[in-house]
Amino acid sequence: MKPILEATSLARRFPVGDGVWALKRADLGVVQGEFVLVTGPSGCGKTTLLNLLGGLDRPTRGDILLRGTAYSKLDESGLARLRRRELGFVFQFFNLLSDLTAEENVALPMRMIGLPKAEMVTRTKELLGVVGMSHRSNHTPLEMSGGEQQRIAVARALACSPTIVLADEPTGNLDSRNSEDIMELFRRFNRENGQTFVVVSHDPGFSGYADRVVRMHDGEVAEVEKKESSRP
Amino acid sequence: MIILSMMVASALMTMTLALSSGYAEGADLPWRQMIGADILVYPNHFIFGGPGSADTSWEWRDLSPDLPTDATFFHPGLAEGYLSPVGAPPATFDLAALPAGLAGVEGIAGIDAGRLLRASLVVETAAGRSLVPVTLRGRDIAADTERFDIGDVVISGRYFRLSQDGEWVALVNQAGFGQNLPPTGGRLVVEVPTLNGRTADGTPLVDFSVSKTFYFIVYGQYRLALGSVPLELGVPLDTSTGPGQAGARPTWPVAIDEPEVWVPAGTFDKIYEEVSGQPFRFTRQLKITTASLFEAKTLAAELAAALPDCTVLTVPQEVALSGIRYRARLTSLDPYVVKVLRQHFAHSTLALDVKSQLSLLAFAVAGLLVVANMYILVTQRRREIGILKAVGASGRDILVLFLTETLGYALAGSLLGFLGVRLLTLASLFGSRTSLVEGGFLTLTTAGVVIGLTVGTSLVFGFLPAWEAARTPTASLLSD
Repeated sequence: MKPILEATSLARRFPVGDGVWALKRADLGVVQGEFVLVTGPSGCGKTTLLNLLGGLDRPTRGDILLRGTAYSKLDESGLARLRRRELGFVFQFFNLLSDLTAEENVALPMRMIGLPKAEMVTRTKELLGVVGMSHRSNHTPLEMSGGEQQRIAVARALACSPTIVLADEPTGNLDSRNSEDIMELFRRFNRENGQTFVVVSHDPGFSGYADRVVRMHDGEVAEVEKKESSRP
Repeated sequence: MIILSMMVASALMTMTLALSSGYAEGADLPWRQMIGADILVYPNHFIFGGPGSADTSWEWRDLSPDLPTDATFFHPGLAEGYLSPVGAPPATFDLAALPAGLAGVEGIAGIDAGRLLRASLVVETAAGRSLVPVTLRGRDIAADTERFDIGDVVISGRYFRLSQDGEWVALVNQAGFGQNLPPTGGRLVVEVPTLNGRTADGTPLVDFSVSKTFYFIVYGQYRLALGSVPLELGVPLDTSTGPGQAGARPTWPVAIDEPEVWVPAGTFDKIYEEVSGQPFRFTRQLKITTASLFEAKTLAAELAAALPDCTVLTVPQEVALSGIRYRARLTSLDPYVVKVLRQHFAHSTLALDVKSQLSLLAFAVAGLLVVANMYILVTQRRREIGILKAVGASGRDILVLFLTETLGYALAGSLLGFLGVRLLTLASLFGSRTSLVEGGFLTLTTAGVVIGLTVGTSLVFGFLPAWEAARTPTASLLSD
């Protein structure tokens, strides 16, 4: 199957001191409906790779194609449009806007794309129901636990039905029970809706959720393990 | 918090603007400067230098010991000599005829009612119609003819004849109008605001919202010497032929440069009756002329003691309170060019100096407050900007969002700060000589400056950090 997201010879150097290669070389293809887990020790370049895949940062070398569109051909506005329409993000520290309620946080990406209000309200309610947070819709992030905030962040990531959801250490700030819940949520969306996920985690224990595990080491993709059996 | 600090900044600005404009004291600067006092006591003798021109030859003169003058009191430098057109005789006021009933009062040489009205000269140009503020001054033709050497004062056209008292004729101050100087023989259109009664202390209440228009024939232009000021040398002076004496400091005669229109007293009285609905009976300002400055000072003290409700000033005191200074600068010898600069120090020299420094300081503090707030506001929200960019906001969206927010904060804060202080100072407006229309204009002007500056500064200094944040890679913003 042809990948919908394809990274070629991706590298990123940060101008710190003499320059640090956070990502030396990464080639990666993600096909529609796939659940990819990127794992590896701290500092191996996982987050850098995910930031590049999400258009949150620009590579020093290499390029990324999403549904045939090369990131290198897009200016800042083009990348912003891409993030708005095609990508959803889940972060380790949730990154919800603290002044907004759960409902408003979930609706934010839909407001960005100019969805009609009625449709936005319906979709928000539906998503809050799916992640089990309907009862918290009018609460602000400060009134919620870490697990609850991450569920809201997942709902926000899914709001505009993105092509791919990119999750950076989504369980890094959660206890083990909440971590399992979030991963279960991802898998449920992956299995039931065919949602494509690329999840970065330093915990190799989550490999059971993935179709494919990409192991990174020292800024490079060290090993790719395909796990056909994980799909029901 | 941001609105609060904008409020503080705007309140500071409003307060400092009020202080520097004299508004807080209920002051109306031009009016006060013009009226100055209820009774002005003039010393009788002044020295006059000729007006001169680009073609005039000049000579350096010592002040004649035979010339009875108090001018050195105003300008001590005059004792060292003065610059004069070659051949021009020094002139002094002559003693005026004493008004009946006052002739026997010791020390008083003459007395005038101050016939003064605020007015506007209507100037029609290709660009449209504009109004130039002027003082309308009623002249006693007989007294002027006796006191002045009219030929020296009226430098273009001619002075009024006695038979013209009450006619629609006028003279204009040659030094007071700049490019708007009405030509001799031309028509003059003047709007005079109406007078709506008087305050408890007799001060006329000027209503600028209702004016009456009067038409005059310009009979001539006059020029009144004010005295001499030290001449600053912008070019080296040729001491062999010019006025430079070793160690001596030359001075320069300056003319009164108020935009003034003289009309005959009878004409003034008609105008007064027209705009006030009452015949001209008195004005609070009287000019009393004495033989010398020393007599003037004594008389002023005696009058002040006898009339506790009146403000009595000698002319030097009046000049000091008006806060007007003249400076003459020699900028070229061939042709001989002297530039006379008029400096305006509002009404109270010491108080104003202190206040203007404080005002500037407070204004700078207020500005810095706005700048610091905007920087903090945007810097603190870098992560929020990162989140917004991650969910699809472009750099332009971020800029629009932050500038809109900034505009809202700045408008709300500056409006609240301005209103808070202005409402407090409104009390002083009602107690002042300032008309409601003029007070309203002052208020609107201050509002414009304060709100405009706050909003402008906020937008400029909000834009820079927001622009920087908008351009920063999203990943960096999120990792902050």
